[in-house]
Amino acid sequence: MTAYVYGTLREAFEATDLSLDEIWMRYFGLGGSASLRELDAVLHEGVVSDRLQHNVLAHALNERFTELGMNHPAPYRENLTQS
Amino acid sequence: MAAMAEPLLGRQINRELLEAVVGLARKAIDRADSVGVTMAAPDGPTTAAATGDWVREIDAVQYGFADGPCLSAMATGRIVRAPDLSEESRWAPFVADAVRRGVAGMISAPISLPQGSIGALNVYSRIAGRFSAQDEAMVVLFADEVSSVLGTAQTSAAAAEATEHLQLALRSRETIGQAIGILMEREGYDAAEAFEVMRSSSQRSNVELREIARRIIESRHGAGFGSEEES
Repeated sequence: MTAYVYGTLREAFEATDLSLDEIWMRYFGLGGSASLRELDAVLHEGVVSDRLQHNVLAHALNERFTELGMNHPAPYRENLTQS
Repeated sequence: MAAMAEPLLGRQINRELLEAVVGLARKAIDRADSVGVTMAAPDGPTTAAATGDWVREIDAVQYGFADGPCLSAMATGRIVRAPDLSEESRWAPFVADAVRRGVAGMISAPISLPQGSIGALNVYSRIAGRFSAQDEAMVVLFADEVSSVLGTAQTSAAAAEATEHLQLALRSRETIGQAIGILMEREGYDAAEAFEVMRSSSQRSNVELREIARRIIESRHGAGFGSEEES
């Protein structure tokens, strides 16, 4: 059921048409707690240390992919580790 | 102050947008009784938006002394915490005056463009005590949001749209936060697990997470949501 395509959140972000502001707003709307600047740093590293924050960001990206007709290609935390 | 004012020259501050942001910030930050935005300007710092006259009064005092938490945040580009003014040793003349006006605690976060600080978002509390990590995070979030909007939204239409997005995001955030709280209480999950349950359900059913959250809130008194697929 893991249909994810991108290896990191950064790759996924770069595959969307969203600006940093736009993805931050979506992430914030889902309960994300990193500031815009922190999110910028996180997207450069591609991985978020906190599991919840990682998945909130992955889901924010995936909601955009869903709007574009794709099925959750951004990796949730469990997709990156042995689940 | 002149050096800080420079990035703003030729830039139109959208007051409506800033007013909307301070209003949202007051709602979103638990400890906030009032919120204001100070911006650098050629004639010195000015209160560009405030949730009330109380803020403007206190800000005027601070500008008069040319010293205080908000101006420190602007000067250093860092968040400045003054959770209990009765125990504050910095900014003595301003603090004495602010306390007389009913301010018990303040926190200020810089509003920055790549060129440097151009202002600060200030939160005023009538009750002393430390600001929670959540409150601090929100102060920084809103300050960053103002920075970003000032950096990009040049037209008032773009600014109005940005405000609307922020409002929607806040509403969605509240809904999801409530639903997480309900699942934690009812199912004994931690926050990450509660989010997990909602986001798998969102993925399975192809329904947006905030809609899943809304259903959980609505089902609060009914059958458990965690007991799998809606029938």
